[in-house]
Amino acid sequence: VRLSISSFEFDSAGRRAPHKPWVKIGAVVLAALVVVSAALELGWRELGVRPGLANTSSLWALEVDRLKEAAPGSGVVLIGSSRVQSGLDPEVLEGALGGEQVYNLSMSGYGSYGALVFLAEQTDFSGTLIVELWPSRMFWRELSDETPSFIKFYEERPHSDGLETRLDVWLGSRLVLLHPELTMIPVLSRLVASRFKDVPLPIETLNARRYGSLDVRAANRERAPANGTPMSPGELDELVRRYGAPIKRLQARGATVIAYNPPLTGASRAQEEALLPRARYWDVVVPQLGVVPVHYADHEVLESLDCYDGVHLGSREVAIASAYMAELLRARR
Amino acid sequence: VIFNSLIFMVFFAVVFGLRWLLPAGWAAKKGVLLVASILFYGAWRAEYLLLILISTLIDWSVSKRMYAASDPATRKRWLLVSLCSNLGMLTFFKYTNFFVDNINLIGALSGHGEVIEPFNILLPVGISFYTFQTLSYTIDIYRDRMKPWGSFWDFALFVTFFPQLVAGPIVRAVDFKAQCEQEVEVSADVRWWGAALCLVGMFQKIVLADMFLAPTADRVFGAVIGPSMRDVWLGVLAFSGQIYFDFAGYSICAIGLAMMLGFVLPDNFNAPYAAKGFSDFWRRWHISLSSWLKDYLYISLGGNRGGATERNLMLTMLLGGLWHGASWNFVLWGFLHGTYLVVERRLRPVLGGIPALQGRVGGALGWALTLFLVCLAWIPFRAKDLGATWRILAGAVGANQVPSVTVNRDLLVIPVVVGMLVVQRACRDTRLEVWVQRAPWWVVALVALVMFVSILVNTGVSRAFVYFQF
Repeated sequence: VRLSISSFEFDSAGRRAPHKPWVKIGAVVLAALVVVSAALELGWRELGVRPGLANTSSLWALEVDRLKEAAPGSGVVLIGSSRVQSGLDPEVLEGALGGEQVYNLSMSGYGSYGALVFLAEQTDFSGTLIVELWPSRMFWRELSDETPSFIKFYEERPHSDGLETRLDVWLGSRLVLLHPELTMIPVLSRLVASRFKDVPLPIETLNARRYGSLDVRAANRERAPANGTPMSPGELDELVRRYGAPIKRLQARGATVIAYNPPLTGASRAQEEALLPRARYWDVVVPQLGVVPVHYADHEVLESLDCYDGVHLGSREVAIASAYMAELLRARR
Repeated sequence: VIFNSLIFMVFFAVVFGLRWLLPAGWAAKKGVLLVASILFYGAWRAEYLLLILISTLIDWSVSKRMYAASDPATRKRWLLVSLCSNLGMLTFFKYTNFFVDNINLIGALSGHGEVIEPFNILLPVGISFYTFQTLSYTIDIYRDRMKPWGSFWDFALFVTFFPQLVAGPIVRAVDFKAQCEQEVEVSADVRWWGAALCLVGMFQKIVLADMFLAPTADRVFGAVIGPSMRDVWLGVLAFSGQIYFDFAGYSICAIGLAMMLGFVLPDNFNAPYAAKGFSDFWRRWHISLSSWLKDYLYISLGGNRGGATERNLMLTMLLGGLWHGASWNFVLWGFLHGTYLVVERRLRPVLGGIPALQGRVGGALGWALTLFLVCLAWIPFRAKDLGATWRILAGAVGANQVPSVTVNRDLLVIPVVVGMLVVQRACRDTRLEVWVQRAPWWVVALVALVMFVSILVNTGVSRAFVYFQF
């Protein structure tokens, strides 16, 4: 065998494993790791931080699996962006609805359309759907209706993903140490910032069991308002047609569809009111969809809530908004 | 199943235990590794195991028949069977929709032609890697450079060996065969060092690639407008570091896992950003692929013979680019590297005669120019499409007057990338093993502890390896 066909082109002598007291190194590292991990875990708990999980496509897929096991006609599904994902607490809703299951299929960074089509076409869901129809996520011309990556992932996910994710959820919902927002950079920048700007800890998070995790990095500053080119009336007609098809399909199965526009404050609200006035957008589109509208401006409780960054509710406000939404749902039944 | 997942750690612990504690012979232990490899791949998509099985069976049978045939024409026919079946599967799964998109584009540009709907084809993970691995086996037998393997199960383990199945390093049959035939005595030092390499690889992947660099690269290359000049250069630096730490991290893990199981895999990276010149870069970057392309493509095209060296270099790099993905962006990336190699080849005799460019100054200039042009070529590699590539290149020279999408946090990219360059320059002519051998034990322990803790607190940001998509 000629050596030239080998892929080994390195100095094989250099590959020799270093001779070290590895057992001693391993024991010292393990002991120190246990001490450091325990200190971090206890320290974070002392500061009031609760376990949290990263918002991933795998978790979304797990929630869909749970939904597919639901009895016909039952359950409440939430779809929308992070404003719904971390803006309505499924546990509060379930408690107020007598234990009826709530499925959080909203996904941070995405609008409702992809999940709406998915729900209509790939599930038999026929319970109550709360779909976020947020003007700044619907009425800009630049927004795309491309199938979201988390739906593509659901369709192509590895066989082992469910088991893998359950294991991650099991561990992540027990250890604060693994909280996705407590990684090096945000923690160090917060510690540095707290020296100069008095940025408060503990970090605000939602319950890990429901896969919610606020983007706490944004929690201390107001977001730049969303921007784009408002749709023309012709484009709105097309939008109604696209959103209307999956909604009608769900309603034909007996589902109740609630269009929810969560609270908005500050510059984001001012911009939305200026560029996407309700009379020309929400009030034109939503009635044509034949859904139950819940616009924050129509409900005193919702309108009074403050968003820490202009678009997201904090944990205290989430509890109030969730209890109020549960009350609306109960009243409708 | 990926190395940076909890379930893989459980899986590997079981395999490692069985490999070393099973009171059985070498054949049974290899059987354990083969079953583990099949489970590993099946955990992604069990039905795609059939593809590996087909590829394994074809190459196993073809190699036997080819070796038995004395007539060159018959041998060539068997080689064609192997080439067509392996490359046929690769082309179908990887390039069908690329052809469809281009047919649609031509139809649209010429103003007629119906639009063909893209096919719903899922790319089998690792197909580009295991196809090249099995092809090298049949080509080597065709070239009379090795004999067919005696054991089908050993050959199946070579094709499916889980530490390197998904993203390399691409192993040659000749290297693996010797390790399969006889169980090698493995010292405790080797197993510990394998574990240490896994730790280093995970640190590179989870902490350096995913936490420090990927967010900046995503922000810049994902921007729908612009990006500005500052953004482009920060993004290019970030991606240059990310792609290295991501892929080198995976390769080091693969090498470490194999070492823990008693196998030696070839190096895949050797301080590539310390390269002085592009031929030097390709001896240091994705070594197992570049040496494969050299031995089985470049030399098959004629290599340096017959005055067509530059054409062969360019073709090799274009096909190497296309191997990475079905997109014109990868072709452009290959074209840029082909051009770099051709220009370097032409300039070498000229520059070699200029005394001012010899020695340290020349070396430093060569290194800086190589680094700059390699980083520039990452733009088409990472950009979404040719339009985005053009937009980002325009941003690189300040043509996009848009607000910046990067924030102060993104400036962290600079010290991380500078640190990477300093370490690679220092490692250029030495190896990690040498450094570790020289270091006191408590320094090794301290570094390992820092890596462990960093990995632990950053697991939430971990993502899939970039090269899994290829």
